[in-house]
Order: sequence, then structure tokens, then C-alpha cells
Amino acid sequence: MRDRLFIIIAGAVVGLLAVILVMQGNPVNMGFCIACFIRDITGALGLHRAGVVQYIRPEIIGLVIGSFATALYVKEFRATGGSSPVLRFILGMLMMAGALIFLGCPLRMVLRLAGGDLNALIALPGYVVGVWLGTYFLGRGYTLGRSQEQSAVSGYAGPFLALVLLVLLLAAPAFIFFSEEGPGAMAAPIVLTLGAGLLVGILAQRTRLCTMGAIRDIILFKDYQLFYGFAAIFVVAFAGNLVTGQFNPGLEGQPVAHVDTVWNFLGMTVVGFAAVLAGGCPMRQLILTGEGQGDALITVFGMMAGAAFMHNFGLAGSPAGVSPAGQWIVFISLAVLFAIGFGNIKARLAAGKKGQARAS
Amino acid sequence: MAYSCYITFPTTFFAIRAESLLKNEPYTFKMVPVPRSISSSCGTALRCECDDISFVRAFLLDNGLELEAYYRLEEIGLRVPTVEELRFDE
Repeated sequence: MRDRLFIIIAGAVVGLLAVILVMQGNPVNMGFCIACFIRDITGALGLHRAGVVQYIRPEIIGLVIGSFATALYVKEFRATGGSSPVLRFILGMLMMAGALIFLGCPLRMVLRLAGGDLNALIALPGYVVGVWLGTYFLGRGYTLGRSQEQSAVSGYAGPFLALVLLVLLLAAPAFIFFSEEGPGAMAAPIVLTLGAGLLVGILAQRTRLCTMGAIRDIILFKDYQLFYGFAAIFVVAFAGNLVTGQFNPGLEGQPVAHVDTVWNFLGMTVVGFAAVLAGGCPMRQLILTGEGQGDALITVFGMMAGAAFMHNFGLAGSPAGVSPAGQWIVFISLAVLFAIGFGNIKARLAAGKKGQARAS
Repeated sequence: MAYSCYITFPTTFFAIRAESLLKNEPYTFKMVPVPRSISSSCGTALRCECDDISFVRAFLLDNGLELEAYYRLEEIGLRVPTVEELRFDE
């Protein structure tokens, strides 16, 4: 009861903040978009040169620092890592690849839906199919192995890098790129975006809000607890968009979106599949980074590499659609995900007493 | 007192197997997210009657499952649950 109530509150706050951030300057239906914001930061650092999506998004900084401060305060900060870091990096890349085909992470998918973008209604079942594919492997013993205790400095790396980004944002040195037009140039005031990120970081750390976990638990165990948070984001953002006149139903002409049905569906299939194999959606990876998990930080680095890869090679989707090369990336991503899934079926039932009795 | 007992697993694989094994057994149980008061991880736990937990544990171990830890929670409304980790003699 307690856990359920708190996750509903957390989801509601995320939905409300998303509406407010759009009213205050963020791109439409992009109050929060973890993949888009990590992509923007990647561009701001010059790792890709798509001039319209370069900005150090304070929301991401806030999410990591908010989670870090909360985890320290409640003594849940634990520096861990070493669980298949190379594969986690690749999973981060693939998660970002799928998100940049659809043009949004699972959180933005919900916010796009709440804003009336019906392309997200096509992406949602794609995401569910992706999560379902991942659960197929969970049920067969998929695991990336246990993480190990690491030195404290390893756990501080993520929050420290977030602080470095904050300094770069405030100092705005010449080597940092800031978009002058396009979505990257649209941003609510720093105080507001940083504050929203901090608040969501705190709430998500306390409640484990995760869009992948919400679907996974329904598929595996018919448990809806995490889904309540997912649903609360949608309900509050939908109501907020209606009240503020930001609800604009339809397929065509949606902001930072395209109408390629197949690629909207399959892009989110890649994201859902990768999120299950990586153990969390993009937002959850940031929260775990704040808690000191080096494996999650590696996944975030993978997402940054994925963003650079997708934009530098012209593979990312755009309002014009998805290029043939981008379409190939979807199939390659799915093939790699199946390879990672099949290649990591390691958990096995031990020979229990019953098995021993049958064998003797 | 509103007590529930929980068994946690090292991976989701064992949680899935536990559910399928227990389906035909006479224990009342439900697979749930690990309660937040136990852990910040997002794994799955098995919730059962505290009177049954030692039997459920023995049954799952006999069937070759790996189990991680055992807890008894006192859950009353919205109050912070009290958590007691249970130990079993091998």
C-alpha cells in the first residue's frame, strides 16, 4: 500500500513537472526525455555535431545528483560494478539507437501520448513487445552476472561528472556547443530544470520508478505496482496538457516526431528489449548511477556513444522519417540484442535434493 | 499484527521458476517487487504467509533454486514497515 501510494505520487509529480517545463520553454512533449537530453549533452560536448540538438540539460544533472544525495542520506549509496561492463555499454548504445529512431525514450513516449501524439500509441505496443522479448531471456536464465563491491571513488564518479557538467553549463566555455535553433535551443530556465531534475531524482530513488519494470512485472507476474507510477505520469500529463491547451491529438505534424509507423514501433521494441537486458530504462540507469552503480554509469556512457554514433552517421530519425541506413540499424540492433540474450543464459537450477534423489 | 514474509532471489530467473513450481502447491503466495523497505533494487520477491516460509524455502531449495534472503515485515497502512531479516539453520 505504502510503496504503491508513493510511486503514484512520484509518477504524478513527473507528469506535472513535464507539463510545467514545456510551458516554461522545453520542446513540446519533451518536458522530460532522458534519451533526448543525454543526446543533447553529447552534442554539447562536441561528440556529435547535429547543431539543433546540443545543450547541457540540467534535468539529467539533477536526476543523478538528486538520487546521489538521497542514497547518501538514507545510507543506500553503494559503489558497485563489474557486471559485464562491455555488454552494458553496448546495451546503452542500442537503447539510445532505438530511442533516436522513435525520437524519444519510454518516458517521452508516455509524454507524447499524453500530448495527443498518436505515433506514440504505435510505439507503446512496440515497447511492450521489446520488454516481452527481454523477459523471454530472463525466464531462460539470462543474467549479466553479479556486480561486485568497488572502491567508493568508483561510485562517486557519476555524481562527480554530473557536477562537472553543471560547471560547464554555468561557465559556458567556448568549447561547449549550445544550439541556437531547434529543440536544443528550447529550454526552461536552469533553476527550474535543475530543480525538477533534483526532485524527480529524489522521488525516483525512493520509489524505483521504472518504465521497463512496469511492463516487465505485468508480463512476468501480473503485478501492477510499478505500472501505477507509469500510469500516473500519463494521467497527470494528459490532464495538464488539456488544462493548459497543449493537447493536440493526431498523427501528422507532431513536434519532434515522424509518422513512420513501422519504425516508431520497432524503435521502441529495441529500447524495451535493451532495457530489460540492461536491467532498467534510461531514467532508471541515471538513478542507479546516483546510487553508486558503476554498471549503470557504463550504460549511460553507452547511451552517449550511441547518440554520437546515430547523429554522426546520419542514422537518427527526424521529422522527415527514418533513413534507409537508420532502418538497417534497427535490424542490426535487434540481432545484437538476440546475440547478447542467447549468449548470457547462465542461471541454472542446481541439482536439488529431489533431483539428487531421482538420480540415485 | 499484519506480518508478511518475503523471499528474495539472486536473479529474476529464479523468481520465475519459484512461481511456476509453487503454482501447484498449497501455499498462499504472490510475486511482488522487492518491498522498498528491504532494498532499493528493482528485483522480484515472493511474498507468503510467515507460517509457511520455512516450508516454502525448503520446497524451493529441494527443487534446486537459489534463494538470496528472507524477511519478515510488519506492514500497517502507510507507516514505515519494520523489517526483520530471518535466518535459517542449514
